[in-house]
Amino acid sequence: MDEPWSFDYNNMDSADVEKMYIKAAFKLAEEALDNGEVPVGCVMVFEGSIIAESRNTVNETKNAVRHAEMNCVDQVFEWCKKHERDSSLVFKNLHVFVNVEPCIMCASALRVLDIPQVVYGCNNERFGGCGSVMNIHNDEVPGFGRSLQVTSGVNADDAVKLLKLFYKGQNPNAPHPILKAQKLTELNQTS
Amino acid sequence: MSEKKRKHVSPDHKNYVNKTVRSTKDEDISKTNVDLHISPWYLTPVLADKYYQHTESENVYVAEVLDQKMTAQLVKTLSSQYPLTGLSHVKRVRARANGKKNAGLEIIICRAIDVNINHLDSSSTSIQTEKIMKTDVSHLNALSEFCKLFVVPKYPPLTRKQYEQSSQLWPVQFHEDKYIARVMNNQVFTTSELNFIEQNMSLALKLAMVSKCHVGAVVVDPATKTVVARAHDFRNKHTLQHAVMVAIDLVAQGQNGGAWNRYGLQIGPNLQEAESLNDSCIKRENHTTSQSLDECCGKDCRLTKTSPYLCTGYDLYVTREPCTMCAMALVHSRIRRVFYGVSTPWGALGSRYKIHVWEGLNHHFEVWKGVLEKQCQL
Repeated sequence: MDEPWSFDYNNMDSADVEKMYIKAAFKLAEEALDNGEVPVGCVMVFEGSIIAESRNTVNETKNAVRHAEMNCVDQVFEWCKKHERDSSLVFKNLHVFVNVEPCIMCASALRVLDIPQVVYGCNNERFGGCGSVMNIHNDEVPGFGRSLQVTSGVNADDAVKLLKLFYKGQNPNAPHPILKAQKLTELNQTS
Repeated sequence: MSEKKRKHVSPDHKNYVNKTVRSTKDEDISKTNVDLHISPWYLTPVLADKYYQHTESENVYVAEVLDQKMTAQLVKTLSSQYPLTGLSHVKRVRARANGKKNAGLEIIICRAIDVNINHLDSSSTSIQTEKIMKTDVSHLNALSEFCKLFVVPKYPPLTRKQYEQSSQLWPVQFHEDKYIARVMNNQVFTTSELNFIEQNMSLALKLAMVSKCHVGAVVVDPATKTVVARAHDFRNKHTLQHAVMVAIDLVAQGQNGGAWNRYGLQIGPNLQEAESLNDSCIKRENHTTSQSLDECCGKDCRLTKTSPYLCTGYDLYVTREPCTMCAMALVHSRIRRVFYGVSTPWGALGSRYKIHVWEGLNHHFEVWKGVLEKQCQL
């Protein structure tokens, strides 16, 4: 299968294109932070163009599963409906860029949809499903499609900085702000 | 109904019921067993693997105590010289096990890995005590000349069964977790609680029946015994709209949030159909409109003085074992407990993984399986 950037972007190599899309995801992550969300953004690319772009909306929707990737998947379904494309074929040729490693749930969703690959920035030590906490990306699970190709560490420092900014602030919807404050002091002590 | 149910009672189930009847005297629980007997299903806890594991062992060197008056001093010396790191559950001294009373004492000198074996014959299972113990003569004289290699349990026992296995190797400390013991003996739920569980699952079953994908799920607030969300699968239309994901979004919608309502994706119509099937299956207020849900949440606020946060405090009933995506969605949503009917090979709450007790995740929850198991095999 041809990589979309190998022919769509004449003078850029694939690493540059990866960085470009990760930067697009990063912009969405910044928007998430501005709205008091965990700063994660995601873009999904099909045939060389972005067909879905979203960010974390957990607090806004009061639904803890509304991660950037999940929102993007819904947009892809909408896009497919609008452009009368077979969604399963679109997902099979989709490229996913996200500034933080997909969590166990999102990695599972990518596997369920048979998405071939994901490029991300920094690791997700708390929930990561592509090696940090679990190996959903390449574990053998009945019903899952191909294993997910993972490229990590693209502009990771930017993503880490953004996450640190978020954890310095407080999640306004969390039930125990005192606990958060304690965690923060621990974090500061260790860092 | 009960006649029908009896037909489904498996031989396993009968054994199980008999066993628990014998093992308990509590009135309430014996009632539970009676109820279980006429019921075609039995509840099985899905606990972390550590509760089912066989005893693993570790090697230690053990010497005989010749002068028992010195025992306390020996223990003191040894615990500073050779602390049993990671083996704090293992008792340092034991009575010799040769069938006789007052057959003397044995004491653990050290873990085998603490000894630098290089200058010793590593194939030997007994070594001279003075070669590994640096202490004065009075201490050495109180011990046998040679110490032997023994195996002791590597990890502290978590269940009575593990305790019994461990004790056969060497005496160990055992602090029984009373709740886990009740869970393993199925002494957690009363008759009325089991009935409530069955009611909720039969509602999930009805939802599953109207779904083309045959999976149904309900979210219940056990504090108020009300149904917070009822959902079924839409994966034929949207690959990720598994019943659990739909249920989680419906809970959010009840808290003035939600996402799938905004995208205009239909997750409602068939639920009305299930509603008509619902009859008097369960007593509750009608929460189909967001208004009445608000009222329900308002009630909760007064009760707990905090507004509802995600699925905190709620129980989920789903006809079959959730996949990894749904299981992790339940971790993110801080669910309290999950009850499911039938296992799936890809299931992440017991079969392929045990995400609900995965080490390193920030939220763990209880999982029970087997509710209306036969009927859930849709």
